[in-house]
Amino acid sequence: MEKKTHIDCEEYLAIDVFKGFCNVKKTTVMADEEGCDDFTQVKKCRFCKHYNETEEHLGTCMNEAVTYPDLLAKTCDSFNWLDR
Amino acid sequence: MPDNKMNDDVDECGLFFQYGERKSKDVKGREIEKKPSQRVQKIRDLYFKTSSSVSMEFPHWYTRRWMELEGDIPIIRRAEAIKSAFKHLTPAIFPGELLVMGKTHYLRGSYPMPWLSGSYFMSKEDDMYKEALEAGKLSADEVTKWGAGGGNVTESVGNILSVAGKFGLRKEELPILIRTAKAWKNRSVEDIGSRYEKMVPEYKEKESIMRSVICMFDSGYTLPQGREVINYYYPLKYGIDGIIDYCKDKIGEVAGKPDMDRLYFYQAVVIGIEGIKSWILNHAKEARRLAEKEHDEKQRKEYAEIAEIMEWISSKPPRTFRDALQICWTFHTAVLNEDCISGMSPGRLGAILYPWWKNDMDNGTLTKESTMELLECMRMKFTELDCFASMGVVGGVLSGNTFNNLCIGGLDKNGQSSANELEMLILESAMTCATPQPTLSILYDEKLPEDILMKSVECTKTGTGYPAWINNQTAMEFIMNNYQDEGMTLEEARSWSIGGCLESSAGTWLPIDLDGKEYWIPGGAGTATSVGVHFIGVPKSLELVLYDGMDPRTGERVFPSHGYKLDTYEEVWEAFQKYFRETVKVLCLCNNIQHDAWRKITPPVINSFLKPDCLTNGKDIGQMGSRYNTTFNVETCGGVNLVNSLASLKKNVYEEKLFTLAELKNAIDNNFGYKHADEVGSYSLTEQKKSPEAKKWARIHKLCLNAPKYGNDDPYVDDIFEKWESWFCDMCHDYTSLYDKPLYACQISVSTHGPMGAVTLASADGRLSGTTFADASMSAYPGTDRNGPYALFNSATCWDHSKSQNTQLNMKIHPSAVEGREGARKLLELIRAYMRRGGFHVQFNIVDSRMLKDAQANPDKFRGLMVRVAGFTQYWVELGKPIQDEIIARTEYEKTG
Repeated sequence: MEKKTHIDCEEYLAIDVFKGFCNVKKTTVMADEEGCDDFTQVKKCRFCKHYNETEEHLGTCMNEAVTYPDLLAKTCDSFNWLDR
Repeated sequence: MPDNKMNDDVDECGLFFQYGERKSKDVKGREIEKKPSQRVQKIRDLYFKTSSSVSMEFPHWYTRRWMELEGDIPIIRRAEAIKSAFKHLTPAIFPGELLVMGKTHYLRGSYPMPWLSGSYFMSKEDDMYKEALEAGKLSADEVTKWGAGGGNVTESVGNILSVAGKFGLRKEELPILIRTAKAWKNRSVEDIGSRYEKMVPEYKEKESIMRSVICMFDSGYTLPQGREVINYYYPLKYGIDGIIDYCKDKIGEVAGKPDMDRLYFYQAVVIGIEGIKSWILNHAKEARRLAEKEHDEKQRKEYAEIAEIMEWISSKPPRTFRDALQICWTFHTAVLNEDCISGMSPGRLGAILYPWWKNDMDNGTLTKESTMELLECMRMKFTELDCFASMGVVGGVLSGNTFNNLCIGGLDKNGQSSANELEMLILESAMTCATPQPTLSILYDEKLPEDILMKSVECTKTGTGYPAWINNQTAMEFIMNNYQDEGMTLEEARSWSIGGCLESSAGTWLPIDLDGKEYWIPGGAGTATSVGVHFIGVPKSLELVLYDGMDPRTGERVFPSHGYKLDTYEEVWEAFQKYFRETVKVLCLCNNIQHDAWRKITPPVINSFLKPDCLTNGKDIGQMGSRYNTTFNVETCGGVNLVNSLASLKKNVYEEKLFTLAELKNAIDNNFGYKHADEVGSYSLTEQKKSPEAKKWARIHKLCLNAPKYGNDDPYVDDIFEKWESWFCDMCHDYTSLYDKPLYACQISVSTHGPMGAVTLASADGRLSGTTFADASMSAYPGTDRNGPYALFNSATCWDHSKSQNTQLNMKIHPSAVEGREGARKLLELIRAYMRRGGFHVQFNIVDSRMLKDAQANPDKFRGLMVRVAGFTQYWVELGKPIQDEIIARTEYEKTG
């Protein structure tokens, strides 16, 4: 089961590459630490049907353009959740 | 001049100097210290704990869209890539913010632009890196020292990599960074520019100049735009939809007609501004989302208010002061996202926003308190800006600063004082929320009322280093002369303002009608001045004269022999002129090619439609759409060390024959018997250490140190200074930019006096090898100005400052010297004295040097401490040691009389 870290949560607001703000708990949390029960997965290429991994941390979108798994997709019109 | 007591028995080179008796035994803090609102205190505390962070969103989406449009019209392809990048940026709204949006979703976010240049952040093993090293493009990176404190990520730790010496990147984003950079290999402005600059006959000479760091960095792909004044007029007057409609009408007018580039330009503007519209609406959507989830009623209301404002400004002109401020901030950030830019100045924001401010104050929807909170929020947004560029550029030149210069004072369109109440609040908010950005400058004019001058003195006394004091009349004279061939008038010259730290930039007045009243607001109308020939270390040029074209540091031949025997002082001066001219010529030709590659590959779209008269001409900035295009310049560094060295050569070698040139070179080779600065770990003259052979060179070194020094009203050396300035300012006009406009002189140092000193051996003025040059251009070399401030002013103004885009004078005054109301009056009189002699610029560090020493030893205790370096104020803990040492070493004035 994929680890649920803050950086993959919808309620995580990144402050910098190390840490961010949890909009539920209203506290600063470390990006790579485990999330809590209120964890809601954020839209990222890694969680999208159109994403195919080609090598570590790199893949394609719709088998065409290069992209990367950790790219946030909150503003991507073609995002489509993977079947969970 | 008093004998410079060289302590033969002491092994340091004692040059620290105080002018006047130090009154207080204990370390004296700063007299004035104010606090921001509670809201902004929280935001600033968060900023202090934030690291500079790289996001790959913008470069990823830009590159993806660009590659899809292979073969399309370049400016359309560019606009589509910009649109895609803005449209996909993840919106971020931080709790407590009133103004929203930033370059990325990080608080202190930035990103590489591999379409401009990619070699400097590639790993050392990579061939892109090796090629850049060979071409001398990374030499400045190698001699730059970063401050390890504050937000700088100078080392990789855990899951975070340190990139370009300062920025943190998440490890999982390294593959896309490398893949994106490689996608641009042989397509970037750097690579294409490099390919064609090799066609300049003297190109090989240019590479050696760069490898020896006689020049700090290339121009076309490093910071191709910036050190200019932005113009917010069109979004404020017409709103986004108004601009789109205007362009669509123009498309109908020009389609199919000659001068077809206008069609593609107008279409590119429509595409680009649609991207910004989506970016704004995404923030409105995010604010709505947050409002729906928010339990705290006050914060919920604030999110809802943000959403409403963002929805409004996504299409329409502002209704209120807050709308107008948000529009200015949005377009400021949009321009910074379009290109690698340092020094995009807001200009005279107090005059620009006054119509909306006055309206809201009169109808009671705004108060002074709510204005102050908005202005403090604005200060934090500007301070959160980071500029991602190479170590040599961001570290060696900029010290991590972004140079957003807000100007107050000056004259209005009719030649009357332009000062207003909003500017008084801008000054007050710069004291309550003391942060490096925006830095402030007051355009001093005899017509300004006393209250804004005294308020500016009060702000100066907080020790933040701003406002800088600028001579409005001297600057207007430069603007009139420099742009006369482009139709500059006196009325238009009054709208000038400062780009970047200190670059006088041309402006224009444009009309705003609000509730039946007409206002004329100033804004930038000149293109970038961060372009042309960057920082030439003139003491290094003189070194090459003594070594007949060889660089003694690298052992490489840079120039052919100059052909002089150097039997007379006049021959030294002629040989210097010869080598300096050759340096300017070859750098100008190569940089022109790089800029031509820039305007062909990455033409500016956003900055173009903001800048008069691009929209009316239908031309982008790269096609000379701006009203004023005579903006390329030649920058120098270390001018005072050059002049002091020439004075020492003239007196010691050629007139009094106290030692020969060969003996001097021998002493220089042996660093006058001192250990090297790197070995000692100190870069100012106050803490250098003698080596065991020091006695052998003590006599020559003492004679060099005691030779006449600039800054003491001594005609012997000031005559040399006047000759250097007059010659340099005139010779720049002999070289032309790619727009076929003459270059002009630009005399600031930023932080280049650190790395450029690092590559220069000891010099004839007694400076030691690897130590920092004098800062700025009118500042005395630390510790050598010993006859008081008025003597320094006389030396500085022995020539006409209006012949140069700028001059720069930094002074360090002990807080006790300007204490209380009487002290404030004395400081104002001091400033007036310099302005009335024609001095262009003066700024102050009001600080006790012992506090700086303590801060150097205990940085954690001083996270918020700021100092004035050159044209910028920076956090002490983020400065490299060479610059810290130099500031500590500057002469400390205990009295101003």
